[in-house]
Amino acid sequence: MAEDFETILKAGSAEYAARTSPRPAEAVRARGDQLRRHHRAATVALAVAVVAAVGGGAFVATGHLSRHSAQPPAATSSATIATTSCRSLVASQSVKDAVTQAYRLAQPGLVHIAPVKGTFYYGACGDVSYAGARFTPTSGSTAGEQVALQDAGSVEKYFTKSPNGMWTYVATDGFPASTHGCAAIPQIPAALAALWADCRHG
Amino acid sequence: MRDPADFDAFYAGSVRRLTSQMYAMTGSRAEAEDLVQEAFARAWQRWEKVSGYADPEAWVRTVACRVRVSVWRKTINRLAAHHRHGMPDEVPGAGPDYVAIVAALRRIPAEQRRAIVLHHLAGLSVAEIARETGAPPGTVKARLSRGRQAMAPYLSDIPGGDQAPRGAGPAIGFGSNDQEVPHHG
Repeated sequence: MAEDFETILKAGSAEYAARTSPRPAEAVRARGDQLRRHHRAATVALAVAVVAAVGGGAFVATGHLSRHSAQPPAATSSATIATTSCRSLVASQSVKDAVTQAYRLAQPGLVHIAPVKGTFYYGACGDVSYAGARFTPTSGSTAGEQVALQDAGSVEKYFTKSPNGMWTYVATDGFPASTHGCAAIPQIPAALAALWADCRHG
Repeated sequence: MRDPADFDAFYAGSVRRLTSQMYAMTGSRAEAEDLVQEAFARAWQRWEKVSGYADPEAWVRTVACRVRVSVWRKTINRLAAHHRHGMPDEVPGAGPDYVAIVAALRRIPAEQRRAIVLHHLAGLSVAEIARETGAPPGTVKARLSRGRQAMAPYLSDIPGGDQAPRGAGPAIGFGSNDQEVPHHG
């Protein structure tokens, strides 16, 4: 007579759990604190680079912005635009191409990439355009590109474009992705995030 | 403000359970422990946010799985064969049926394995697995079904059967576990 798979699996796992000796919580917290310090150091360095770029007259994102990082003035001002005029728009291929190119510029080393189908958001509030997309490796991608597009590289990225300006990478979702979607992204006006259903494409 | 006592209580209450789940997914004690510790460290790194989530344990499990995928991809060329087909680490005191199940899990695709562990061990429903893995419910159902089918040859004592590997474990059935089960989290 066949024994029950689930019963054996649960009983065996319970025995395993009882026998395991996890590391002290203090050691785990120490590792978490280390990760936090590294993240802050990277964020500060990025903010310095962003300020320098903006001071030069053009903002070019050169790093991995998080939603906790300092924001360029253009992004900050765009998020405060009156949101009553926000509208979600159909993204043409040229828009997708331009946004993808903006991400390539912001992430040196990423060349063979394309937006993941069903994750592209495009809209405008006033005369400022916004977009969001996740990216995936395409044919010809290198191992480095594939690795870069994992984990934090695989979540939704956000872009803005001023009138007559270029698309600029301004923020990324967290990793794992926030359950609040793009409603948690300060650079995306709340009204537009609502039109995008908070970017919950999953 | 991060509260160490709050985190420590969460850690103490869930680390063993998550480690056993990751062992079922990896078949490696060392890897399971490392993945879970790293995931908990990342939880402490963002504890202000993670502690506010409805199910922080699911968040830690998701991170552990993603860390594993990342590590696995980086070492695929060196370790793939051993990783997927080697025998699981010996666990002192573990029953032969449990060892056979973990060994069989290692022989099926990772996404099917994850679905089976989340459903049959963690007790998640299809909808909850879909939410945690980001896959549509239909895909989760297919992974569960195909995973069970793929494991079956390794869990049945088919003498001389073409599909039965050497050293296949005892006969173990899936019983009537096709129904969704609630998340007891």
